[in-house]
Amino acid sequence: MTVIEVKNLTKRYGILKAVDGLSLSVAKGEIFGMLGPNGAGKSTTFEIIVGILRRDSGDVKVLGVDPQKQPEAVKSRIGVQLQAAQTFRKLTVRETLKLFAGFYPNPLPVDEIIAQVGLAEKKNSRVETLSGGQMQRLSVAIAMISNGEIIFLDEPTAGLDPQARRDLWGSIIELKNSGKTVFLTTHFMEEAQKLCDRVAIIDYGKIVALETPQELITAHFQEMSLEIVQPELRNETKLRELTSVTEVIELNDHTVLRTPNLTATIQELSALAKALGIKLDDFRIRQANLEDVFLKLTGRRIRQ
Amino acid sequence: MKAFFQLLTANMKEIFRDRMQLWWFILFPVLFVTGFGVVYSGAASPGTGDNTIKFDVGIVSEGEGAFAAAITEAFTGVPEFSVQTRTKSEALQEFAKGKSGLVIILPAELEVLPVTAENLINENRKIEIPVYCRPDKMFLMYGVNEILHRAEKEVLGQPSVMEIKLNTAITHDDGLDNNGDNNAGFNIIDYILPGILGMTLMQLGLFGSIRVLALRVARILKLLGATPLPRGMFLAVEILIRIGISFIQALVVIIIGHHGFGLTLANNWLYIAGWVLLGTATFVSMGYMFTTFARTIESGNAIMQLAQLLMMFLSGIFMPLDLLPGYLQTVMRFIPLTYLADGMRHAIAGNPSLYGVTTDFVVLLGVTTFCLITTVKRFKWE
Repeated sequence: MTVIEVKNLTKRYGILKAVDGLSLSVAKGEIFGMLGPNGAGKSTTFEIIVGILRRDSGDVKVLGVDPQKQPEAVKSRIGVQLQAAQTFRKLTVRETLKLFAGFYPNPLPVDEIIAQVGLAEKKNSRVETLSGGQMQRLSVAIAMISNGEIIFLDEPTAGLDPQARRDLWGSIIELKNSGKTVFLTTHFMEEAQKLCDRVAIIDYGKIVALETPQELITAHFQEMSLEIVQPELRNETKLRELTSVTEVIELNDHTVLRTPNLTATIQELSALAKALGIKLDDFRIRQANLEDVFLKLTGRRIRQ
Repeated sequence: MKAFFQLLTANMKEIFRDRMQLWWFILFPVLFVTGFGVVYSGAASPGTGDNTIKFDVGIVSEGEGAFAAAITEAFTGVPEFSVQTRTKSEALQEFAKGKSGLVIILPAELEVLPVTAENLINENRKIEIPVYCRPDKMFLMYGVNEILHRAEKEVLGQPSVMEIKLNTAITHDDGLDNNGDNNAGFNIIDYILPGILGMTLMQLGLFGSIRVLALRVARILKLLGATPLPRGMFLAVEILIRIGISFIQALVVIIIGHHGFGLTLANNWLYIAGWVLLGTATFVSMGYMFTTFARTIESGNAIMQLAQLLMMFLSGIFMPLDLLPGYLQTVMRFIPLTYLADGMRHAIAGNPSLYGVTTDFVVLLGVTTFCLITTVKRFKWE
């Protein structure tokens, strides 16, 4: 069953086409992720779908209802977390969630959600005293308290430390297990890879790929990646002359060699190092991941 | 309705837990009113009028009797007035030439007032007191009114039968029930304090609306927009809270003014509340309108500061308008606070309105409507 249906969506800001003929559909019960660099049109798409931004053209249906025509019918059935949105500073965590719970027809119990996002110790603290990570968890809790059929999360784990991020992933997977659909945007490849059933990669307002993370990787890479961190070998033009290497990508802190034949590449690389008088001691071998797909499709790293 | 009350409670907590807000909207007006009360109650007492500006007043006593003499004396006792007794033609000539700005004509009929008053009341008739007042001296009218009615009350000890007839027929107010106080002159507190209340209502409206700007900048409005909460409900709660604080503020200012500095309370609370409500509506909607021109809290504050300073000093709430050059007096006519202060003086102390109660009301209502329409057209939730 499709719960979100977007067809040919466009939105302009002056001459800038923020969203350019974008189509996607999300099935009930899946975790759907939107990946894209800043300014790719993720948040614009997100805000149009949740009914707080008007579209220029195209069709949007959320739970069978057009959010532009009947915003309240949609909003009472979904929960939304917005990027960088704060809440009332002088209220406590508990008061805040109680307030938002009051807006929805069937909210979840406040204390249950507080425990779930790990804010139990902070429940009587004022919002103004929360750290960035705690504020982030509160804003996800606001989305969850709605007990909506679809939970929309815009960059839910931004600003969280790795442990808190993993905890929140647990909460998001629980949402899925309880039968909810999750629609999220993220900057974290690992997050998209671990959490999402399907991922849409967005660039310049268009979807450039839409598959499961594993399908995306296998579709674009049969090759392995070899990452060179050693400064002496960085920006070395001779790397491009290695016959077994199909592609050389220079990144900020390392160089990536792509190869279908890892053994041959390592042999060639050590020969090159020897010829240059460099001791080869700092490189990593890994399988292609979503970040590689992203880089290949958009020509950019997601976080620069 | 549940959401409405929860939002109301949340907003009230938000405001009352913020010490800065309390300072600005409650303590600041208290300090202001106390400060001005102390300054002006000193200035108005007899014997300290040496340095005050004098206004020429021509009095024409047609009956030349004891009652007119008593009224003339009452005017002479006001340090701000320099009184000349004239014949009617002399006085009107001087008025026409601009030599005097205020002429009061006491008809002969006044002298038999103690005898005829009862008949007049029964017949529901009044004695007209023609007063010629230049528009730029309208400010003096509340003093004239007060002196005339006090004199009348002393002689008759009953409801007023005198009616001031302004030559420009701008306005007059009847049925006044002033208690007055012991000063020889008019009570300048009655002029100043209602103006101060108007000013604090203006500040509350302008600076209170910064909160909506802050909520927008922090994307809280957007977040609320993503919930099923109707936007109108959010605005209704905001406005309700502003009105509530306005009432608290007005009550505090009036009580301090009345008990501390002898501010006259001439009208009932409901009537005063109506004017407070109108003033709040005017300046809250003006504040909201200004926020639609600001992108950041800083620029919002700058706009409010500018608007507040202009209105504060060009509305004649602090100083007699005669101190202002003519062109500024023209500017003053375009300042909404001028009309709120005027309406407040009328509503609280029962002063005759300088521009007419109807004018005050219509101007304020017009400004409110204009600001609301502009706000609705320009308002953005994010």
